[in-house]
Amino acid sequence: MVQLSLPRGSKPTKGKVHKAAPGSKDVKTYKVYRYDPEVDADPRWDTFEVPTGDHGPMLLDALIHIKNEIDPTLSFRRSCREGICGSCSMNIDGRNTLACTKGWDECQSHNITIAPLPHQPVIKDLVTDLSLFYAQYDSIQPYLQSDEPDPEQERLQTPAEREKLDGLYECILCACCSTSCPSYWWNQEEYLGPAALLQSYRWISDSRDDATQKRLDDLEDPFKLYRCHTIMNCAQVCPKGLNPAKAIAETKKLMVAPSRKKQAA
Amino acid sequence: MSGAVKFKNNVKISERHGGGEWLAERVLLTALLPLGLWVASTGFTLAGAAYDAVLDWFANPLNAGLLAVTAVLLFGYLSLAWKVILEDYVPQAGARKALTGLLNLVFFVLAAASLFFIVRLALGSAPLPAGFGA
Repeated sequence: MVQLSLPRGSKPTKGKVHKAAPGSKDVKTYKVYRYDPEVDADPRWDTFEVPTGDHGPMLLDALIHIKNEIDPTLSFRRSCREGICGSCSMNIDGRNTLACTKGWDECQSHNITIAPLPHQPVIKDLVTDLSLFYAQYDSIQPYLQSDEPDPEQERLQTPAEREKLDGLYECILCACCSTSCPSYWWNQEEYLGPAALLQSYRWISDSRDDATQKRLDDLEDPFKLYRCHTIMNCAQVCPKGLNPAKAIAETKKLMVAPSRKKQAA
Repeated sequence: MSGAVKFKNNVKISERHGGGEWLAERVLLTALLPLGLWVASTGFTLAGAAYDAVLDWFANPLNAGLLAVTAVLLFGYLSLAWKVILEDYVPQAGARKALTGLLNLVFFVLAAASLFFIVRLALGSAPLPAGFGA
């Protein structure tokens, strides 16, 4: 539900300041959210001054540099460092994105804020608990369901049928979209969120899948699907350039299509 | 909201409705766009007109009929739209249900009152029956 202010005990306080060595050139300041729920009473903002020449071009390079050289207790997820695994999703300068594909020189200011994905339980520092997000993804049954017997070889599609999956299958489940959506912030217990709904539409659109009506039935709910108010934050922040809001709109159209009513009858 | 919300593996089980309400909202809003423009333009046209001229306007069945349709659609749309707003902003299920019911009652009364006044004006009567108001 709507929360107009942070719950008591969750407002970050001012943390440690790690100054750059005197005489350092091209120093960027990273204001990083720090919180260990098992130890800390409140979260805090630690400040790290880092010369840009000390690390690579991406924000993830800066974070790895901070962890290796300044504060080894800093926690964050990372793996592929090339925008494929979705592990290093976080909120950078107020916008959800992947730290590995965001260059520090893309940030306008010299003070770059780095925080965990919004409205998710923090496990430690920049690592959030995405259990519900994954459960929602699991609930849409993200796999092929065909009434046809298993073929000897692959199930064929025409180029036109395959083209319908473009812009849908590329999702890397980084959760940038869902955690940037105010509807998801407020109703994530009941609303599936843009990522799960994009993936649901990916299977609904698949010519080889025969479970379209069941998938639509499972989505038809005032909260699971219809909490999307077309705010479009999902499309704005998706690091892969996808448009979950459009997929959700297409799903809503299919939900009330005359062909669906006939099949239901 | 119908009954208790059910979950499986922490994910809500579908209530199997919502599409009809969503479609109704769109249809009502689409109809209200031209009707709203018509009502607004009529308001400008009739502003400052003599009382008899306004009664003449209401005496036209097309005008009175369209205005009645506009009123019914408007309050129907407001009912659906407010339901969505309450679902977003009122966390307690009981309070949400009570407020939704209260607003539906208010919109129903307003729609009925609108129809009452439109019919009376269309028939050339004073808006209020004798003995009510000034």
